[in-house]
Amino acid sequence: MTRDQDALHPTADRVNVNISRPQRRALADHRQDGKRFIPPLLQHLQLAEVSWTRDLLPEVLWLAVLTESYGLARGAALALSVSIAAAGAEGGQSDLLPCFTSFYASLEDESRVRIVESLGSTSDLDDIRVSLRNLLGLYPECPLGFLLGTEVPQLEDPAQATAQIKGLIAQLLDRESQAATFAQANAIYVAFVVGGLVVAEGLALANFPAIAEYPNTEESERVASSTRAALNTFAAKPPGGAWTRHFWNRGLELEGCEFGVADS
Amino acid sequence: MTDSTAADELWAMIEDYVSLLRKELAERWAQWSLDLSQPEVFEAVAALMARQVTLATQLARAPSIWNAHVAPLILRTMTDTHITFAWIWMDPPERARKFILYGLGQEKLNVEHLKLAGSERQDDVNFQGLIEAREGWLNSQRFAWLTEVDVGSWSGMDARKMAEEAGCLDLYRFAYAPFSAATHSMWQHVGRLNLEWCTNPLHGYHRVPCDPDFGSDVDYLYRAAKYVDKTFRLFDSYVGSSVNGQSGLELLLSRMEELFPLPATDAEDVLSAQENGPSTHENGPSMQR
Repeated sequence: MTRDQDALHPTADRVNVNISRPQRRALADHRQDGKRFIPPLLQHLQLAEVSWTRDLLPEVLWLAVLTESYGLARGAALALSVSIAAAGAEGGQSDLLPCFTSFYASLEDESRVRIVESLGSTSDLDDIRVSLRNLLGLYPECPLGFLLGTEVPQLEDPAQATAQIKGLIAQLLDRESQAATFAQANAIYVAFVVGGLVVAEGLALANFPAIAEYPNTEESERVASSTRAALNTFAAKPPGGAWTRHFWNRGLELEGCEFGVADS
Repeated sequence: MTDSTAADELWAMIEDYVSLLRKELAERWAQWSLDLSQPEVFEAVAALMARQVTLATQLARAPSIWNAHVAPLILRTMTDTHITFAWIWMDPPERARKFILYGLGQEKLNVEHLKLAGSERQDDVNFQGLIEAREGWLNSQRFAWLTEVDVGSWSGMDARKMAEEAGCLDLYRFAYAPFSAATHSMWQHVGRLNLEWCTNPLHGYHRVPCDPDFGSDVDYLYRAAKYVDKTFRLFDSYVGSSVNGQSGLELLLSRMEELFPLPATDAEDVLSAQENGPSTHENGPSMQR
């Protein structure tokens, strides 16, 4: 190698170094405002941020538990049963749908009693109690605890209960997993029936029943995408209520941190 | 090759590199026709070039810091030094003086702060001695009472602008800026290197603090060698100097090839990337084996 071989030793006079590369500017589609570069979407929209993990997962976990116990159709029916019984109840958080756990946080005692009585007139209450027992036993401060009656459930096998809920949460942490998608779908189902959700013909969400095939068809994937987007609009504003805060911190009480490769 | 033999070879390479780098510095200095009527030019340039050698040799002799935690701190300084060096060369009389006066002003400010702190430590002989020594260094060049203090940028512009003017914007973009994350402990560094994921789903996959050990990655030594060689080449282009024989970078490359042989395709990719544009290898593949 000789000193004349400049290829390995670029010097300051190689100012034309970029000639062989296309002349593009980084962040070309961003609007510059002083030292800030604003991405296109934020130039035109005022966005409110909601986190699936922090703000929505704790709200729809109970829906996922019902689906895990009884399948999508029966799980959806049970979720709707509770939501219909609760819709219009005194003290319910009016800016939330009754598919969200936090809706039940501020219910009047009388409303809770009426909901349980309404469910008790069908076979739904027993199925709901069996399914949600582990979740409500592990999270005794869950606003849905009234569904089990007045006593905090004593778990026969706390380790098994923890394993069940932990395994389900692991699936839900992937928002595009089947479990998470079905939980979100059940929430949107409630929104259709009791929440006044209306969708224009031709939009993906208008073919909502196709989500039952998720993730095995392209149509179901389109519907799922719209479902996720729609659910964000129903999140609490601002997000981060007492239940969602309690939920994750309760996880720290249940078990310690783990390290290494996460189970897929 | 046994572990002890490999270690001996590695240290031999390091020491040979250090010796050669210092020889390169001395030879270049010897070829530069001094003009003692402009000492500021020669001293500022010489100090910065020597600084590059120091940073490279100190890093070379400390394989334990050839990792993502610490090496970027030195490499970022080397890129900063080169940008400064390159910018000064565009107008040495004016800019070398500006560089030196700014430094003297900073030293004056530091001495004043020490004096304020030392006012309550009059009996502390060591502390008072420190103040005296620092003020002596300052006054030996310019009386403190004649020295301005500038708390802005010494060049009047930021490093990016300096790099752009001096024709090393790629060095700024692909080395100075990314390494700055380590220097300033910014999120894009600490979020990656000092947090690890808790894999318990019950905790929502949060992250917890950690202090991981990394092995020594010789690629950091290679980058240091590249930067000091870049500075040497720039000096040569302005002064018309040349050094016979193998350069420090060439020695390092050949010895590293023996100690850490690359697959042929990787070496070709490296050379090709450097011929077509220097920036692609600033964050190139690790040569760790």
